[in-house]
Amino acid sequence: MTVLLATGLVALLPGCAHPVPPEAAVALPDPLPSRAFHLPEIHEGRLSNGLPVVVVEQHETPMIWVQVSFRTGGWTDPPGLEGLASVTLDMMDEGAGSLDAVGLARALDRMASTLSAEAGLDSAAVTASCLAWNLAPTLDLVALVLRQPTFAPAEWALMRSRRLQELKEADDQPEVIATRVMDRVLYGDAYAGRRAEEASYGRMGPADMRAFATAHLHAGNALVEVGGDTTLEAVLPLLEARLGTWQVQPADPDPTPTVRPPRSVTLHVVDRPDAPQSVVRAGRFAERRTDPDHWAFTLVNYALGGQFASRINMNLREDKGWTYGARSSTLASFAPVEWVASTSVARDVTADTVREILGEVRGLLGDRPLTAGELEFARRSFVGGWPARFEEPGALLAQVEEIRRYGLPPTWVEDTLPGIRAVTLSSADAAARRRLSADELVVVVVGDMARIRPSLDALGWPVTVHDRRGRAIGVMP
Amino acid sequence: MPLPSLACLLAIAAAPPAAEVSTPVLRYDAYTLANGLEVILAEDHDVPIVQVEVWYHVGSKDEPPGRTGFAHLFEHLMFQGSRHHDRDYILSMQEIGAVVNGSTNTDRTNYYERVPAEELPRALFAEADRMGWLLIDDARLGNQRDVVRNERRQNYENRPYGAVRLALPELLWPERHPYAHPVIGSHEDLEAATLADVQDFFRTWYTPNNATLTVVGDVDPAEARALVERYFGPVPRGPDPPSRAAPAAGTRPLPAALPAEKEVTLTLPVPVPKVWIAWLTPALYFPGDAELDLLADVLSRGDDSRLHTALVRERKVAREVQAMQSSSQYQSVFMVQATPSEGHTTAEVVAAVDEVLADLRAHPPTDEEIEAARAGAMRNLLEGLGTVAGKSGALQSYNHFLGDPGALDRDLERYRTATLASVREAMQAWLPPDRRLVLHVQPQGVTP
Repeated sequence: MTVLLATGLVALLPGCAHPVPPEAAVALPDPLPSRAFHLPEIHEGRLSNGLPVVVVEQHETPMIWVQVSFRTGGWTDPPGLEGLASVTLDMMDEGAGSLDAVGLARALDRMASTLSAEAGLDSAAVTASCLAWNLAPTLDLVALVLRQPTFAPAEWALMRSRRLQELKEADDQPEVIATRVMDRVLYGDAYAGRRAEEASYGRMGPADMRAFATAHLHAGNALVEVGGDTTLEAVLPLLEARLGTWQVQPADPDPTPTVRPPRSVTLHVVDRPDAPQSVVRAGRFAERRTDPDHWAFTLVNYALGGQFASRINMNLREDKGWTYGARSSTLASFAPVEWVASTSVARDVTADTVREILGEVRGLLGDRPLTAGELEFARRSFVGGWPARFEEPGALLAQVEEIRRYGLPPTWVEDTLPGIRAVTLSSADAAARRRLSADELVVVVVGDMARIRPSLDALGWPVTVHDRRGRAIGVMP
Repeated sequence: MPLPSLACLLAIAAAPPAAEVSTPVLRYDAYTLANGLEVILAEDHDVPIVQVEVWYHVGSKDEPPGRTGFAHLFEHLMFQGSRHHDRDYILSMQEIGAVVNGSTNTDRTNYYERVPAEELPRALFAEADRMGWLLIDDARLGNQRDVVRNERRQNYENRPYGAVRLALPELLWPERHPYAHPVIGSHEDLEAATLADVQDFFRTWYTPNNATLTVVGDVDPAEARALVERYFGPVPRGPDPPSRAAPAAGTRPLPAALPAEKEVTLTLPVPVPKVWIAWLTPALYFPGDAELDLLADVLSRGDDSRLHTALVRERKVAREVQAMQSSSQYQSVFMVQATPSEGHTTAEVVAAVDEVLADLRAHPPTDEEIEAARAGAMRNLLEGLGTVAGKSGALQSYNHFLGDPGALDRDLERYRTATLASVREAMQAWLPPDRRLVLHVQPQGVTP
């Protein structure tokens, strides 16, 4: 419920047998003459209090999406109140103004409109969608939620008990456990390493939420984005009437997270007795997104593990059949970019999988560097897939929001394709060397230790045992 | 067909004053090739992309005995290369930036690629080649069998409550019913699959006369027609496929019914208990199906819904509760799923659900509830038509289930004409308190 527009992508990834190098010669038909593609126009305006408004039009269906995002997130949670940003946003649609949670839901349901609010580590947004003719009454509710959230104690009591139970459920989800461990190791007790737990939920209350909203959820920290079947001219007066006098305060400063980059390979394990598969991750920091070699590294990662047709997946799935899929991805935040390879494998091949992943990184930096064919494949894939990203307004609006959030150059979107086209084999190679290493990695394994521990010990790295919340609880003898 | 594909036609009284819900019109052109392949073309010039999608009218319901999971395993094999395209299918598509995938459910198997508009020839060539000349050998079969078994481990066995999805089909449907096993199949059956099975399945089901092609996007219709003919025209026609609507010989007569209440408890290594309550209900697009959609909405969408109000807000016996009509070709399943809140049991939750349902039987939903549900259903339909993938899926689905790609109107009509009385009738007829499955999941005692 956080994104402006969700585009569905089926998780089922079908397969193939023999890994054929991307250069394989098969007589494929020539393309038709290429068609022009122009980025949708971004229309920008401002309310009288300075609140910025961005509109991307799309008139194919009579739907409109609205997002009000804030430059804040879980990173601002006061010590001991971990989870406060997330809870505050979650509580915003549980009653506002004269409407209680049920009244608000009823008002939305009548119009077939939706409204939700959510915060992540470095994001916070109220999102709504409606049929075009219901824009004005839907914006009434958005404004109500933004300006007069109730934070009713009874609603918090309900939400707290739900969240406590969800915490318990997450303790049994191997992917969640792996992420917690990786975050703890990479960030320590700061930034992404901090998480809401029973104790922090126990301490917080409506007064904290009100304080958070006053400090962070104001017009000086906000961006309004509208996509779909409307125009800037149509939407500005509607927004002015509802948000034009919304209080403005200075914007939040950027966080400057401290991180703990790995200096060697360390292995971190969590026991899940009888788990039929092991979840395997290998991660590190890979410099800054604003660095000039960002586009070169984007293509390097495409070839290494960024898509199905990549070395890691072709090796582990297509050649060996050890997994349903393996990927590597980069994660943007206020910290340096996180690069993480991840997969789930049958338990008897857990240690071998770790070896193979590290072997692919080592090979890329050593005797099997990126080939010209791989680079062109990745480039063509990126460029060819570009127009499809803009079929709905959500993707472009998300980019506009990220530019503002992370302080990227304002021309980031237009600069993307030229940046991708300019990557050379040597700039790609340099980016790979600068950002990757097989000797400085955090490796996480969540699985059945009674069965896989001997093979993990044989890898020869120091092993730390963690609990399901990600905390180190001991070192394996 | 140089028209926008959506137009406003009529209004329903759903929303605030003067609100009207427009009826989308999906424009398309449908015809059949000499070899029996159904073709549906639709223009959408919004962005220079095109969705090419093939539905084979076969699903896990058509699997022979002892071969559960086979339709899905076969789907994987379709990506392994064909005579004139002996290359990983995904490589040829990712190379041009396509989104490519396939999926199998009980009723049908689909394959699609969303490609830059100028790459339409590549997508049609590759789809046609695997329809006509798939390459199958032991190495390809062996590798994909391993991949699928890992898919089963990842998505079912290593996932909390994944065992429920594996257990439900067998608990809900009688033995030998086409839906009585999970789509992913069993390890044992996957292991037993032979090359001869693969060849048989291909010959029986993967023929142009058992398939439908959609091409939706930024295309010139005359050019698209010519390309479809060029690549799919030479694919040889197969034997007449079994009837699309009829269950395979040797299976149980339809529709199935639960003879009594069936209460089952599964003890699993999970942290909290959950409960599923399920009824067998009318098939997709059959009378009652839309009404049960609306009822599910009244029961569980939003903080103002019946189940949420009673279970979560008032009695606080549940943390979350959902109701849904999950619709399929032969028959559907209406499901209520809930998680008890701390200190409460699944039995208390079931009792509370029963009270809400009994109250609804005695006092039907209000006009306001039904109108909100109706507006939500119309909106969902509209929203789904905003992308080439959504349009392609709708055309394929109406064609597969109703034999008419243009059935959007009929679909909408079901929600428009549902009344308080018809929703109540559907509830009386299909959600009896004494013929249903109640599945409790109890934790084995896992320590965090």
